Amino acid sequence: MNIASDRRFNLRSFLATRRSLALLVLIVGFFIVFSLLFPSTFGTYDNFSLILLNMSAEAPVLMAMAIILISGEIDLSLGAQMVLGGILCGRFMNVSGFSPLLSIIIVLLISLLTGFINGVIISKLKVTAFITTLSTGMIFLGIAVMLAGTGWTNFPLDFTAMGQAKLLGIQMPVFYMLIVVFIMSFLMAKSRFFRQYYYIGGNTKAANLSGIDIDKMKIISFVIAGFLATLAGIITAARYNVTLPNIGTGVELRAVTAAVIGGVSFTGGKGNVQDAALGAVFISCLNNVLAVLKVNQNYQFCITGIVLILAIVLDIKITKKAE
Amino acid sequence: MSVISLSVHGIVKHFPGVTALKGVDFDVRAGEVHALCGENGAGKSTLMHILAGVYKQDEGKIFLNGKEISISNQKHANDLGIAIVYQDRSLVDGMNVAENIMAARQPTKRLSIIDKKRLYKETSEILSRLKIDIDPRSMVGTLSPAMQQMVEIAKALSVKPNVLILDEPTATISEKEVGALFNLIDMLKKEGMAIIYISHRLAEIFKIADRVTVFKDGKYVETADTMRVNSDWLVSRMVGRELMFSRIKDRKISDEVVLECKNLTGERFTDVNFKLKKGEIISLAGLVGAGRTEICRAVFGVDRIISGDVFVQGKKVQIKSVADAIDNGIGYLPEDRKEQGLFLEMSIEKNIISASIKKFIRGLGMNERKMLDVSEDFKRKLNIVTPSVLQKVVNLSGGNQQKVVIAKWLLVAPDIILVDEPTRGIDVGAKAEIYTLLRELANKGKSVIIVSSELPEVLSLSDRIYVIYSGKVLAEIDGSEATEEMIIKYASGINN
Repeated sequence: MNIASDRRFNLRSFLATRRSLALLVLIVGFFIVFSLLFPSTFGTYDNFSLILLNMSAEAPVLMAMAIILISGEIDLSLGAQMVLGGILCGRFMNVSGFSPLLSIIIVLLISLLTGFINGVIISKLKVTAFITTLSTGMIFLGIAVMLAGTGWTNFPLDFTAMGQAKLLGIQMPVFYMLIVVFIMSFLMAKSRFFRQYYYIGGNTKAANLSGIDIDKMKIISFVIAGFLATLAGIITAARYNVTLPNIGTGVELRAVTAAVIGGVSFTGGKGNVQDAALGAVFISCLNNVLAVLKVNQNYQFCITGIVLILAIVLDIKITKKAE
Repeated sequence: MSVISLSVHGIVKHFPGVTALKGVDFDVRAGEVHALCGENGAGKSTLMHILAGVYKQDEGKIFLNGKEISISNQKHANDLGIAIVYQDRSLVDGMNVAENIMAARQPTKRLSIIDKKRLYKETSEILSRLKIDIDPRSMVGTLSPAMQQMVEIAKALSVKPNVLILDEPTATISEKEVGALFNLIDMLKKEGMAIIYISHRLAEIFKIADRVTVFKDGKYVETADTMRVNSDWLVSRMVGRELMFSRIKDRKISDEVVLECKNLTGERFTDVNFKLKKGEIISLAGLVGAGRTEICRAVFGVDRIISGDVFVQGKKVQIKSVADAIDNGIGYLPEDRKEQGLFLEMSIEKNIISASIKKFIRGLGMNERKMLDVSEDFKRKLNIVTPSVLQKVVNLSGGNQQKVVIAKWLLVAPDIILVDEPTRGIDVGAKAEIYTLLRELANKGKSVIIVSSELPEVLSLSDRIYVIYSGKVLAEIDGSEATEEMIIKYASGINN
C-alpha cells in the first residue's frame, strides 16, 4: 500500500493534515478581504501590528496551555500564576526596591515552585488536573490579591521600556511572542524530550509500555507552564505599567479557545503549538474586525463562541472523513 | 534439535482469591514456534505477563540460554531480549509508524534534537528486513488493524529480542491478512528467533507452530509436536472440566418465536440468523471478539444495524435506539456491569429502580416507601447479601452486584433478556444462584439470550447454542447434544 501515490488534491485530507497551511490561508484571506473592505481602518500597518500586540502578552500562556493539552491535561491556574507573577514583580520593584532584572529572576524562580506544586499533586497524589489547578488557581490568586491590594503602578523606566519600546514601529511584546512561539514549536516538533508529550497524551498506557516516565514528564510540563504564565504576567506588567489582580481573568479559557481552533485536541495527543498560535492570530483578527465595525463587546463573545463550536464540529467531520 | 532458548520451571502465581498458575513448566527453542493453548483462565496470559516483566512469579525459576534470570520490569525484559506483542494495542494513533516503533528510543543529534533522517532510515531498515511494506511516515491511525499489528510486531522486534511472545496476534485481523503475518513469523523462525504463540484459533496452530503445549486451570497438561497430533487431540486435552450444574433436560418449550433476526448485519458481524422461542434459553458461544457482544448490542439498539430485519413476537420492528428496544420488551445485562450496568456510588435501591423511574414518581418527588418495598422484595427473592438496600452498590461483592443488575431488569420486566457474560468474576456460590435465577425466568415464560466464554456455563444453561465465528453463525447445536469439543471446534473456525 502506498499512500503517497494518490496525488489528486483532496480538500479534506489537506485540511486534516496541513492544518498550519489551511489556517494561514484562512488568515491571509481574511486580511485581504477586510483590507479591501476597510482600507483606512483595518488594512493599515499600525492596525496589523496592533492585532499582534493584542495577543502578544498572553501568548506564553497559550504556549503553556497547548503543551498541557497535548499531554492530555489542563491547567486552570495559568491566569492566577500570570497575575501572581506580575504582582510579585511589581512588589519586589516598588516595595523591596529590587532592580527590575533581579525582580524578574526571583519571580521566575518562584514560578518554578508554583508549577511544581501543581505537577506533584497531579502526578503523585493522583488528583485530576482540573480540580488541582482549579484549587491552586484560587490559592495563587488569593495570595496575589493579598500582596497587591489594589495593584502596583509607576514602575522603573527600565522595566516599562521592556514592554513599551518599539522596533520597526512594533511594540516589544510582539517580538517576545515570536521568540517564545519559535522556541516552543521547535522543541515540541524536534526534541525527543518534548515529543514524549504526544505519546502521553495520545495513549498513556502505550507511552508507559514504551518506557516513558509519565510522572516526571507531567511534573515538568506543569513547571514549564507555570514559568510561561509568569512570563506573560511580567510582560503584561511592563506593557501597561500596572499590575491588577483581574488582569488574568479568563486567560486560561481564551488560551483553550485559541489552541482548539488551532487544532490542538482537548483530549490530548494531537495538534501543535504553532497552529495554536495561528488560532490565536485568527481570534485576534476577528476581534479586531469586530472592533473596527464597532460591534458591541457582547456580540464579540457570541461570535467567538460560534467560531469555536464551528471549528470543533468541522474538525470532527473532517478528520472522520479523511480517515 | 536446536538449543532451548527460554524455559520456566514450576511457576506459581497467586492473585487474591485465585491461583492462576499452579507450578507450570514450559520451554521454547531457538528457531521454533511453540504454541500455548488452553481455555479462558488456563493461565497462558499470566505466564506471558511474568515473562514480560509485568508480574513477578511467587515461586519457580526462569532460565534464558541456560542461565537463571530474574525479570524486574518491562524494560528489563526487553534488555534481556524478551519482547512481547500484547493482545491490547500499545500504539499511539496520532503519531506515524516510525515514531511509534522507536517511541522513546528515537535517535537524536546534539541537544536531544530528534534525528529525523536516522529515525526514518532505521525504521525503514527494520520494516524492510521484516518485509513489511508500510511507509514509515504514514499515521498509525489510518492503517488497517492488520497493518497496525505488523507495526506492533516491528516495535517489539526493534529492541532486537531473541524471544518473541505473540499474544493472540490474529484476534483483531481478518483471515486474509493472517497470511502476511504467518510469512513474517516463518521468516523470523528461520533467523533463529524463539517464538511463543498464543491463540484460541486451533486451525492456525497447526499451520504455524512446531510444538504445542496445553495448560488447563493453571496446570501444565501436555506438550506435543504438531506434526504428530490433530485438532481432536488438542481439544480433548483442553476440555474436560466438570459441569458445575446438571444440564437442562428436554424442557418443554412452546413453538412461539418471540425474537427472530434475519440476515442481521452490523459493523462486526454479517448475515446473522437466529430464533428465540418463548421460555427458551439460547447461547451465543464463541471466542472473545467473534462478534457475540456486538450482535446483542445491535439487537438492543446500542450499535447500528446496517441491514437485516428483527422480528419481535412475529412483527417486524425497527430498533434504532435503546428506547426502541425497551419498548419492544428487550432488556440487556451488559458484559461490564461496573462500567455499563451500575451506578456504583448509588444505593442498591436507586440502582434497582434506575430503569423504571417512571413507576415511582409521585407528584414532584419519588414514592420512597414503594421504592424501599420493591427493593426489599428483590433483596429477599434474589438473596442479595447486604445489611440494607440503602448500601452503596460499590460495597457489594461481584455476585451481589450482578444480582442488582438482574433485579433492575426484572423490575422492567422485559420478555426478552440479553445477558452478556453473566458470571464473569463471580464466585462459585453466586454463580449457582444466578444460574437458578435465569432458569426460573425461563420457566416463567421469559426468553433469555446468553453470551458466555465459559463453556460449562453455556452447556448447563442452554436449550440451543449458536456458535459464532468471525461475525458469522457457524453452527446451531441442540443444547442436549452439545459437547465442549463441538463448541470449541466451531468457535475456532474448524467446520465439519
